[in-house]
Amino acid sequence: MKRFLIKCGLFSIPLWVIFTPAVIHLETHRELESTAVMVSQNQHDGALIGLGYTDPMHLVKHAVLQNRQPEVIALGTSRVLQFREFCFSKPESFYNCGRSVGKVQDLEAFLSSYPGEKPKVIILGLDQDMCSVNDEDMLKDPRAYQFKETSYGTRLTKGTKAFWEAWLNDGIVTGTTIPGTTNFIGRNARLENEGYRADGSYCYGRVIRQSNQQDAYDFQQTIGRIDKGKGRFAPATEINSGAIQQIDNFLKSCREMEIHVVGFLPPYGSAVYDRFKEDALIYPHVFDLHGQLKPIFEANKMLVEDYTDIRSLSANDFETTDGFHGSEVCYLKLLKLMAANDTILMSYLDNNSLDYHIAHAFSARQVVKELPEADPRVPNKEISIKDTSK
Amino acid sequence: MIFNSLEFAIFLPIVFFLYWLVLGRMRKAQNGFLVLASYVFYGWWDWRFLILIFASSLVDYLVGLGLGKVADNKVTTRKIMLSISLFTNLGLLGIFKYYNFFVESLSEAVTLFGQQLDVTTLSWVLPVGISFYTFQTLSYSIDVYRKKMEPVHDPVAFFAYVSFFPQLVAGPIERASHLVPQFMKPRAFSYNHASDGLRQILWGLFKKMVIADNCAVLVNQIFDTPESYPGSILALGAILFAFQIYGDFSGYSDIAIGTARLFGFDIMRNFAYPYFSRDIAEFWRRWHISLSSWFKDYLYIPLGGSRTKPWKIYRNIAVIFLVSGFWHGANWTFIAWGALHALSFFPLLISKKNRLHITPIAEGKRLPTGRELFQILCTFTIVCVTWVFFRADSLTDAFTYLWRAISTIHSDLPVFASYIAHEAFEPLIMIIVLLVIEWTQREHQHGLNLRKVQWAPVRYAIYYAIIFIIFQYGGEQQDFIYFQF
Repeated sequence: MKRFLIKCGLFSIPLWVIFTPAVIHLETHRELESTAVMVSQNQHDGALIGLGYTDPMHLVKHAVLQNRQPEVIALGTSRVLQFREFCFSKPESFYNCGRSVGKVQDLEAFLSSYPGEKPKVIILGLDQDMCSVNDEDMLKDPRAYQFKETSYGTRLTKGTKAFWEAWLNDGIVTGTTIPGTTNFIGRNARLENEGYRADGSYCYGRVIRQSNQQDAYDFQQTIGRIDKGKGRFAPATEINSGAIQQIDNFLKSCREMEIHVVGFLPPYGSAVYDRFKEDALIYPHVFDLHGQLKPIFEANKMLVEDYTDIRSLSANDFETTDGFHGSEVCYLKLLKLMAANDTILMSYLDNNSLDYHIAHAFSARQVVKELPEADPRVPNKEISIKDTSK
Repeated sequence: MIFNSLEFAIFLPIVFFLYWLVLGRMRKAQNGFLVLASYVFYGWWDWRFLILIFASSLVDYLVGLGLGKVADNKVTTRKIMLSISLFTNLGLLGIFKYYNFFVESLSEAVTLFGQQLDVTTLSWVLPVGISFYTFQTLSYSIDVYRKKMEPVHDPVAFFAYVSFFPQLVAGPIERASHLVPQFMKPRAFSYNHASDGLRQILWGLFKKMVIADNCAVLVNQIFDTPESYPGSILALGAILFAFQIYGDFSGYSDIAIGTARLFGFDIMRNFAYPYFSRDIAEFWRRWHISLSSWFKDYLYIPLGGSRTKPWKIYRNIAVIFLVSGFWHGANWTFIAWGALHALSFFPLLISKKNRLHITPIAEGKRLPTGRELFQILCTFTIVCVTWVFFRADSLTDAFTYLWRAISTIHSDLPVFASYIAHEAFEPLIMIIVLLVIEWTQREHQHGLNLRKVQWAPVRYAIYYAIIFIIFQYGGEQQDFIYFQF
């Protein structure tokens, strides 16, 4: 027995070496919480969810929908995450499902697995690259939204694996809790004030707190990605007709379920837009997409707006978090313009509140001050409704 | 509690330490502790169903005592006592597992004659492992009735035998005559026994977490929407399911046997590399051995076995395959699965070749001959076809799946190549690793029996490599398939 125990002890030493630092790190940052705990603390206590090693947010948001049952949702990728609940006349009636879908095939899957009563209105962000014929995501299966709580052991194994991968690739980010941060789930939330709020929108803590180190408003990082022509910035010969068909199917399903959809093409910073324009022929999904989407939206008696150029929102390049993500202030303007052309959406908004917040925005990136900014810029407060007529 | 969970990883060492270090020299206390640990293990899933295990154990314990007291010439009394055990155990199965199937089938049959029958179905959860522990207790009562073993007087030993946690929920289905005596005698810790148990647990975890859990994701996608895939991918889906169910069930059995060894028990082997079988008869000597032998001893032989008229032999074979299928689940798909195996078996029986392959394949050689390889592939193909029925939700689904697989097998080959490259590549590599290791170990009890590897660093490197593969490539945690049976 003694020999057996000694051998087992020695054999397990490498396993302790692998798991112990990972578990200490992950537990310190609350990276191993169950979905139920995340949902509960996010919704009831306002805990910011900013996980650094795993990304189960589409399932977490699905679980939130079950409880919250919103009337209006924002649906899309990270490019819809800037819509906030205070824009709506009944804040609790809104939920931001940004990043719940990553590709057009996910739209129908999301809708068919939607828990409980369906929303009345969907604000749909349609990333231009989703409709590129070269989008590799078109080959993938739709996301699975069936919620199944994972065990602590599974989360521990996944988290440990991600911890060591991060350690090998970029090194582990360590630090102390940002002063005043009491309610956090995840490393990004704890160290950078970055994560998902209770309304599903995203707090870009790192970008805002270090704004002067960002890609400095000329968007060299984003433009560099266009120059390389890879991933979501890959050029294409044409718009993907299959993607247009999938969107059409989604709209028809929504119509059958009496869900009103208001679509929009999200903004790029002006420098990025201009860079695309230099090669307009190889980016048809950036410049010609609205023309193809408009008829199918109109056939379903729905609206789709084109805000690809941030200037169409009377916004400037300071009102961004990077070259292809507008800021909350930018999206506030976007919402006002969109609602001006859609009475159903307008009925859920408080127009006076929108005007007030646009006029009194704290900075180009924050509507209300949540975080200190190293380099706050003043937003362009002028907004012209007629700009939407393009 | 399931074997591939953190709860079990904490539970097992605690039980092990208390069992050996605290209660090491007290056999009765060890047995009592095993009953307690087993009830905690089972109750972790749903404590309410512990009452069923307790009731089944109590009835058979009392029936055993009663049979021991009744004189041999009181045949009717003895039969009544056995009937109590049969009625209790098969009654539990009937209510929890088969009631809905029978009433729904009856309702459908009545509808065929233009009548309507209002039936009430039950929405009860099927208690995990009920088919396993009821068969285990039944074997005890039948053996005592047949005077193959003496009744057990020690209730704690008997309850420990029925609820022994390593094999409680998914087998192997142990015989009382083999396992009960092990509870009756003192146990001594054996280093070799325990360390080989750990190796078998590790191999079982590899089969479950790497093979079965990774295959499950693809199999679920393919079987849920077969209309989305060309025939070649559907054929691949059937092959992946063959390895999913093998990895899942034989992996569970390996962990169960290995865990029992840690506590000084030997429980019977359940799988003996079945996919290296050269015909269906050999397959059934290597697949779910504890169930096949249970049906052989308690159904096939009482029906006359092979020492009766030829037509009765065929009937007996058909009966055990159909009952075996029905044992797996209350659905016509399982009965069809059993029937297909019976149909595959009959040609061997008619030509008297059903006991042709008794010795291990390629014994003493590195590789099989071309003929053996062809036989293995043919047998595996038949088994994969039958697995489609086992996995499908209905007979219609199974036939549709097979028809689509056959009729479109040549279409969309670029899609098939892309599917292999992007979706199935990792699971297929792991299946190859499994087959290579099991082929080299086919004359041993399990895949990590490394007695031939003399140099310890190489052995330990292999163990760590398996742990690394489990850690790196282990799939999303899935329930064990056989829990539902």
